[in-house]
Amino acid sequence: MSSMKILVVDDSITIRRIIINALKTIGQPDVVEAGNGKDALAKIAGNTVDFVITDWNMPEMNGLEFTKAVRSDASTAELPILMITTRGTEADVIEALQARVNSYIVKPFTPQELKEKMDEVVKSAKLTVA
Amino acid sequence: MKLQEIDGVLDKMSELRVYLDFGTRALPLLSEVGTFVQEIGPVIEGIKSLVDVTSQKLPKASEQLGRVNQFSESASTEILNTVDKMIVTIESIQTPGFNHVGGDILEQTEQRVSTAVDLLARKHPEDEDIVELLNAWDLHAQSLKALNRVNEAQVKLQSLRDDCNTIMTSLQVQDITGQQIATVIGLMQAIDDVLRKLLAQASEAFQPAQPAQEERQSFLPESVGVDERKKMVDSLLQKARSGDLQLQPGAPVQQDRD
Repeated sequence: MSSMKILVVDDSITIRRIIINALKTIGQPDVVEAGNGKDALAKIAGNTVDFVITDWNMPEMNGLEFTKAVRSDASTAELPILMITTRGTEADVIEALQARVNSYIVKPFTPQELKEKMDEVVKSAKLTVA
Repeated sequence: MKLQEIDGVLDKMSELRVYLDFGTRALPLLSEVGTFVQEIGPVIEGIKSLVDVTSQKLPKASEQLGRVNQFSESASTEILNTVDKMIVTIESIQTPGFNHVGGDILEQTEQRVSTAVDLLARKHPEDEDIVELLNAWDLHAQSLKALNRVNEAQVKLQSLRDDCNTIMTSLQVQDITGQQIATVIGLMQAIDDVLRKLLAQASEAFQPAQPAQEERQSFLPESVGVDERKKMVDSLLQKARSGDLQLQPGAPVQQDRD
């Protein structure tokens, strides 16, 4: 997995720090942060983001609404999105997939798990592009 | 008195008798109603005072839970800060791209060369070049031992770095429990709203109030069955990628999440 600019979206500063540390561990130190979906959309508009990691439960605009907003914009429709959340029911996963997230992790996660899921997303994105 | 007038009086008396009969039958019922109202009064008063007390305790309980959340977040931040400092220190000592391999092979090679050099020195003790080779080899052997110790330190540093990652992974529990506590606080506030409405309506006609519409999440501790849930998630992702999962983009899922 080559180096990417990654947008980390979570209303918890603790979780953002944990995700950023995990990304650093797997060799992805280039990160921008946002505390909710609305801020995240602004960050995408202002930065060249290659990959998004988002939470679900957030104030103002939750992760699902954010994903739908990203997918509805032609310029960002194919942006890889990985959802990391405490929501772990089958209905939750299906709803997220229907909103077109690329992958899903239930907290707690390890850096290794994060790398595996990101690798899968990047690989399948390349296959789609090819 | 004429007959018609007598009939009229008799009719009135019959009507009066009907009313008296009705009154006689209604009296016990009215008496029961009166007794019921007398009995229900203290019960309603009891409910009112219970609701009163509960509506004072619930906000306090919510506040305490909120503080629990706050303190656990502060503690997590402290731990994170400390772990961050540890990682910075470890990374400043670690050799970038360190990969400790071939330790056994290195030792064997060292042993063989050492034996060969010793043999050579014993066979040709007068040869200055061989003596010089022996001395150089001794110095080299000492450097190898020092390098070995550095390698061992690097291995330990990497182990410490991995432990820091483990601590970070564990700290995610704070976020999970924090969300569960926030859900409980929301429910307590909803119950408090209902009780306050009950209190306000207790003296009027009692109407059951509708609970506030709160987004409901599962109350199961999120740490229970984590592995099973991750397997379920991976299975769904696999099916989605292979096209075996029927997805309707944008449609909400009508399932009870509890």
